[in-house]
Formats: sequence, C-alpha cells, structure tokens
Amino acid sequence: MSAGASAVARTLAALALVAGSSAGAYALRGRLNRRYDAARRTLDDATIPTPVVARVISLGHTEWMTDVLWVNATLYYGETLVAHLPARYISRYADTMIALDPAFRRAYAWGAQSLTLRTVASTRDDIEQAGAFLRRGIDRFPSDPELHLQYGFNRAFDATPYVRRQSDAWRSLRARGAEHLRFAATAAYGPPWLPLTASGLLRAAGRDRDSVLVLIDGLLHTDDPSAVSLIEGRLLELLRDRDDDPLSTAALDTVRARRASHAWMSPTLHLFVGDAGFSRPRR
Amino acid sequence: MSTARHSPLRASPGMTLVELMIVVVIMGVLAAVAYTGYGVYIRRSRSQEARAMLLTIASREDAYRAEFASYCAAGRTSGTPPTTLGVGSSWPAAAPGPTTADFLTSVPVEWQQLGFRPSGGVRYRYVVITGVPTTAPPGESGWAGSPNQDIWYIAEAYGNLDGDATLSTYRVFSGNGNRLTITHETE
Repeated sequence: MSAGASAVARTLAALALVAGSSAGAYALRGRLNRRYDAARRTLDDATIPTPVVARVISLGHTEWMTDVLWVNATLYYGETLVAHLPARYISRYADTMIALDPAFRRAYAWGAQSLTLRTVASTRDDIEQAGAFLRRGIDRFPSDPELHLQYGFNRAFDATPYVRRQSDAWRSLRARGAEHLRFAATAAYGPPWLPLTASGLLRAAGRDRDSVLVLIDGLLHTDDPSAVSLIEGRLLELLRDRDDDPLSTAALDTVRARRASHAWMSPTLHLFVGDAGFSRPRR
Repeated sequence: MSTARHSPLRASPGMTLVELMIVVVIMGVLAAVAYTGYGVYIRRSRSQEARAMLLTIASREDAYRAEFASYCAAGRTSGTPPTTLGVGSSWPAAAPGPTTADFLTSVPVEWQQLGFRPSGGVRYRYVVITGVPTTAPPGESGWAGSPNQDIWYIAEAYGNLDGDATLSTYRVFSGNGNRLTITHETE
C-alpha cells in the first residue's frame, strides 16, 4: 500500500471512529443522562450533612457548625441555593441548622422564606414545609411577632390556594392564620392595617368578640392616622352589631377619649393615664 | 582547589530574581482569582435581598387584598401610584448600584399604606403596579382575554450590584403564584 493510500485509510478510520462514537453517544444519551442525574443527586445530597453527622463532625461545637452551614447556605450558595436548586436542599440546610442550634432564630425564618418564593412555582409540600419551620420557630420563640406574622400569612394566604375555597380545610387554615396575625397585630408588628385583616379573619371564623378586641388593641398600638381612622370605622361598624357588649363599647369610648385628651402622647402610653376630667379625691 | 566552593553559604545559593518574579506572579494570579470569586460570592449573597423583599411585598399584597379587595400599587411618586414598570418608577429614587440607599426617608405614602418598611438600607429598587382584569399585565402572556381573570399586581426589583451597565430584574406576578422570574441574575 502506498503512503498516500495509507493516509487516506487512516483518515477514513478516524472519521468512522468519530461517527461511531457520536452515534453511540446519541443512542445512549438518555440512559447516560439518567445515570448522571442519579449520581449527581447522590453527590449533592452528600454535601449537606444530616443533623446527626453534622453533630458528630462539629466535635461538640454545634453553634460554630451552624455558623459554617449558615455561611455556606447564604454566602457560598447564596441566591443560587434558594432560586435554582431543588427545595430539598433548603429543607436539609434549615433542618440541620435548627437541629444543631435551636436558638438560631434566623434559620426558621430563612427556611420558610426560601421555600415560599422560588424561581419554580412552590408546591403544596413546600408551603407546608415552610409552615412547619415557622411552627417550630414559634414553639421555640413563642413571643416573636415576626415568626407569628409569617406563620399567619403562611396559613391564611400561602396555604389556602391549595385547598378548595370555603371548604372546612380552607376555613381552618384561615382561622389558624388569623390567630397568629392577631398576635403580631397586638404586638404592633407588621403593616398598620394588620388589625383589620386579623379582625376580618377572626370574624369569618365566628369569633366576633375577638374580632372586636383585636381592633381595640390595634387602636392602642398604631400611630398611623389613616389606619386609626379605618380601625375606628370598623369598630363602630362591628359594635353597632354588638350593642349587647358593654365592655367592648366602653373600651372603645375609653380609647377615643384618651386620643382626644392626650393626642400628644404615644397611644401605647394611653393605658397608663387616667380620664381627662379625673382628679384624685382629697382625704 | 578553592575551599569556598564547598562552604555552606555557597551550597545554598537562594533564589534568583526570576524565581521570585515567578512566585510573585503566581501569588498575584491566585489573589486575582480569589478576589473575583469573593466578589461573586458577595453579590450572590446580597442578591437575596431582592427575593426576600419581594416575598414580603407579595404577602403584604395578599393580606391587603383580603382587607381592601384590591392590590396596592407603589413606586417613586407619592400620591400617584405607578402605572409602568422600570427603574424610573421605582423607589428609592437613586440609581441602583453596589451601595445601599435608605428606603424609609421621604418614602411615598403608598409603601406605608402597603406596610412595606424594610429596615436599614436597600441595594435594590422596588416598584409595584396593579391592574384590573381588562388590562393585560406587561410581560405576561395568556392573561388578557382568558376566562376567570382576576385583578393582578406585578412587583419588580432592580439591582446593579457590580456597578456595570446591566441591571438585574426580579419579578413576582400575582397570576403565577409564588414564582420568581429573574433576568440577568449575575449581571
């Protein structure tokens, strides 16, 4: 065979090899992709330690380990973790951080927020998982208004689209949400009209008296003039329907009197002052 | 034969200038890579602000609607809610950049009405527009003319964490449920 023919044969053989490899890869691509996905999932899961493993490798320094995980989740992965990776990563990180350091309050809120808003539509499981993190947070920090507010929103608004409107489950979620929104409103946390929302939800749950009381609490705690006006209007509306409730009516009268006589004072302090015309009796 | 050739000082000749230069160059390259990587990490971390704030806006809007039967539009100008999206309609008014801007100083009344009060400075700019069923939400297909239409809102955040000419945009549309759309995330 001449040198020229040998070169042609080698070229053809190389081309055939490339073509054969390409065809083989094309034929196998589905199976290869599946294997790659399975392997990647295993590897990715392995990079986030379970709570038990994390506790062991922390050598007792669980708070430090939590800090490392927190930095890893929020700084190393950052938005990528929350926006693009599967929800199980978020749950795993939050679970591990909470297990290692239950006093790390931000982990509860971070886990819930991250599962609620992502670049893919959140599923019902995501919302329930978010609610579970918040519930655990409230169990650990029962007087934290931010966690109550988030949990209230989670139950009343995020979870309700997944159940049939006006069904028992729907009503139950709204009632549960109302309870926690009421807590946040009473602590003067959240938007100024939150007492109105909580009141409306409580009333829908058949708790008329609580719906009035949350508005009175709201009047005591808000400085926003438009919110005060709205709350007062709603209170009058509700009390008109409940003229058999002297306590609520008296409370509203008291709050209004304080506002008139002590307009310069923060509403929170109105509880500590007497009536405008009241004077201590002389001995 | 000279004895100086076998002295300990001659046996350890040290490094040449070229070797030192090579070490310096390698360290420089590593430092440059590390600095770039650090910048990416920092931006990735700071971009979480947009998602967290949009989630807060979304939950406020849901609750606002439950009470007032409408969504609340909010942007740059107090008293006149925005009707168009874009940085020009967003608040805070300063152009987005790597540094923070105060949100609450002279904040338009609509943000207070919505109850959106981020503490401290923000790196992103925010705007919310609202619409009724007969108007099509900008950038969302399959909404106008479809049955079971509803009132809607779109909230957007604009950021420029690296200070270049490209803005990143984060968007939440009420018709998509809790779903975030990101454009130019890494700018």
